[in-house]
Amino acid sequence: MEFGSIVFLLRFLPIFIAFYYVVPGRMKSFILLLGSLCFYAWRVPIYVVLLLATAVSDYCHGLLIEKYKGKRTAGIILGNALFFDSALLLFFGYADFLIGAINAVTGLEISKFDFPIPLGLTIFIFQSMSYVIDVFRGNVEAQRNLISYAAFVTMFPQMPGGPIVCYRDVEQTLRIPKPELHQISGGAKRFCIGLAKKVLLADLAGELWMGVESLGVSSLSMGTAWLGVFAFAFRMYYAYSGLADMAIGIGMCLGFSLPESFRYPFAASSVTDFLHRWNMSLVIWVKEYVFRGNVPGRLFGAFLAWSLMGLWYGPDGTFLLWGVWLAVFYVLETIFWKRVQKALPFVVNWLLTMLVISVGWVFFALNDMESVKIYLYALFGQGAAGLMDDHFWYLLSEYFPVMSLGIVFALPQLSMLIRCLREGRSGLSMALYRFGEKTVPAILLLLSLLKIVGE
Amino acid sequence: MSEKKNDLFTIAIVAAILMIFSTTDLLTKLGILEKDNITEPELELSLSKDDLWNGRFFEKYEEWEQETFFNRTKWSEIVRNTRLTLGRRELNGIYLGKRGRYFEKHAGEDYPLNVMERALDDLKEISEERNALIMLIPTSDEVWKEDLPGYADSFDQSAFLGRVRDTVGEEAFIDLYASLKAHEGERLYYSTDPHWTSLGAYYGYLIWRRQAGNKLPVYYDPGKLVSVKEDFVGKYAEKTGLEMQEESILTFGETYRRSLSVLVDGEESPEEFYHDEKLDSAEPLEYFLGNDFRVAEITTGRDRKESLVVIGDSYANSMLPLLAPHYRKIYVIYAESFGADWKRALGMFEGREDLEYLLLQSVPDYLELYRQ
Repeated sequence: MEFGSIVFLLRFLPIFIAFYYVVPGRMKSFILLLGSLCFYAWRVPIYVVLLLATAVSDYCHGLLIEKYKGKRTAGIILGNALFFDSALLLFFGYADFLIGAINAVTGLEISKFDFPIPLGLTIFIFQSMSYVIDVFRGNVEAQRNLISYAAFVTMFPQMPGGPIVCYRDVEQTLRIPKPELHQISGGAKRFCIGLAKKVLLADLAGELWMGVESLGVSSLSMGTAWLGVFAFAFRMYYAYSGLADMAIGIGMCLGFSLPESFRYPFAASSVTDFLHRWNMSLVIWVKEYVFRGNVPGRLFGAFLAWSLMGLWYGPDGTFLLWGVWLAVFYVLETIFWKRVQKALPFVVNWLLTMLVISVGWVFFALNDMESVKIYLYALFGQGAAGLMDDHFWYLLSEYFPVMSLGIVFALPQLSMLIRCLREGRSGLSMALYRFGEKTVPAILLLLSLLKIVGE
Repeated sequence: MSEKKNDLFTIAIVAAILMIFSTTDLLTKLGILEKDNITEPELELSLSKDDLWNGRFFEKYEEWEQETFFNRTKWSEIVRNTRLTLGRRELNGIYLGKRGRYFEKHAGEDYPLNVMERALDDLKEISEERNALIMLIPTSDEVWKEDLPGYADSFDQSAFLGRVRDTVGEEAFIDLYASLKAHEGERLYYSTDPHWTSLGAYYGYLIWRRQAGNKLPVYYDPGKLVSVKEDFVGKYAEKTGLEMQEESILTFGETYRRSLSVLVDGEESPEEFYHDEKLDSAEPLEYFLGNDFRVAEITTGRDRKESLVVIGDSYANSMLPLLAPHYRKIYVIYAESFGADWKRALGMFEGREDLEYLLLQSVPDYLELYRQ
């Protein structure tokens, strides 16, 4: 069930929310669990077993860790829990990818499993891991209520695209979720914005990218290649940040405060800055649960972590390459470029960063290195079709409104303007803000619904 | 307004939108509210293990929900009009051209080099082995290129035709592009359908006759075309969902009432080139022979020595009546039924000396055979 589908928006969500609000506080976790399992079972029902197995496993491990707190046994139990979670993650998420890699390197022909990757696999495994680690570290108490814990692990809002929620952030709410009116109102607004990002901007940017891709990398002009990169970047950003906004919005409506995931990554003035603005909840998770403690070779560890970040988006070599590309620049910046950056004006740093990020998207978007090479040639004016051709002008004129909106919403200036209105003391700014906060989400929701049902 | 009222108001608006859409759709599906007049697909769900495993079961249900959503045609229209207002000039693979003309998109990248090479090899073979004339019909997006939206991607058919000429030689190549281009101001193609009109076919016929040589003069008067349908709207309307200007289907009166015998895939068909009953069907252009066959055999009733084998497509159908007076029989091989292996169908004519061959297809249709 996709967030941008009729079944979710007009069937599942209203029924679920109605039940959630009607039942008393103590029952809310149970309704959340039930709703999440229904949501999860919609695609591949059998994977509900996997989801529940993770929840039950870490619930038991959590209790045992607490029981043996301070003893060596607790460490062994933690190791056992993490091994189980990692094994599930590797087997269900990356087994075919690893087999493919082994086959490619050794020339063997090990057959693949070919099963679909469970929805939100990395998310619920990481969430569950964060719980056992936090119990081990003494940051949280072990959850005694299996339903509450299972509701945390299976929570549906973040399943399609994050953010990763740490147990300690929702521990209090899980006991008796009690959404406040301002939370519900804020959540509804956030959800509408996220939906519009996904349905209106990401999907249309995706159409443009597919238009460029269908031309074939060998026949691209420089203009078309850049248009393609921007379209792909917007597709990725608006799809993932849209999903995160919807998750945060639904979370607020349910009384939870889910962490932010994206903070205007295209306003970044360095690759390091970009990495800290893109998929922030993953970055925080990695920092908190991988690097806390004494990691030997910190820079190498960071390089490894940023490189592997690509695999978050799927088991594919090109995603890994994207991660490696960004990780290399992260290391370069850390070693020496940071000092140079300080001497350069912001605009130059921003342009250089966008150049690196844009090239990175080429790795992400294309399937093989030969295509990447040809695309990069086109990107720097060495393509078969010169600087600008008819394709470029045609696609630009077709998608100009979408790309313009894409740029406006990807930069923080609009949000700054809204904040000015909200915090403004004049009657006009207040009236404008009040009017906008009611009409804009409603218009976005209407437009998104029209696009969903009309296409 | 207090903060509390403000929040309540925001929630109420969002909830109301969701509830209105949701309940109206449910009430429509339950038959309590009136449905729009679109035939709705039946919900066909089978709970098989495979469907459950790969998620297809729920996917089918979601598709059904989408397709049967209340007032779907209205919503689609709004989305379409919004796209057009925002400057889109292409809907579902159809260009919205100038002067009320619509064009099927034939993008250059759809026909890679290897496809063209294979297509050219077969043309060379058939022209050498069977002395076939090659008459590839450029489509409207080539002849009326100026009416395409600015910068629209369009496969360069004239360049391909140049390669065909170089491959098969001047003797075998019929330069239809030049002929049609010379008459581009006339109604050579339908505006709402990819096919050429009887007038386009007539210009094709003239150039064929000149190239084929030694043919008895048969006169058709393009000034006296007969209208058989005034309210024709071609397939672009359905593809784009747009309302389009109706146009007429015209034919040459001289081609009527000939004594014919038509065998389609070995079975007798109405003894006419034209199928009146198709005019009011969903495919009015099947009035010209149709396209759901492999081989048709037309006995023209003329006392001629030669017969003709046409390796054709749906474009060929409107030219066949004009060719009929020149032959005793016309065999039509519908190439699409055979795909890239269409030459196999010529096996049935092995050893016959009385046959002439004509490859008569639109450029995209012919190349399409090699993309499959």
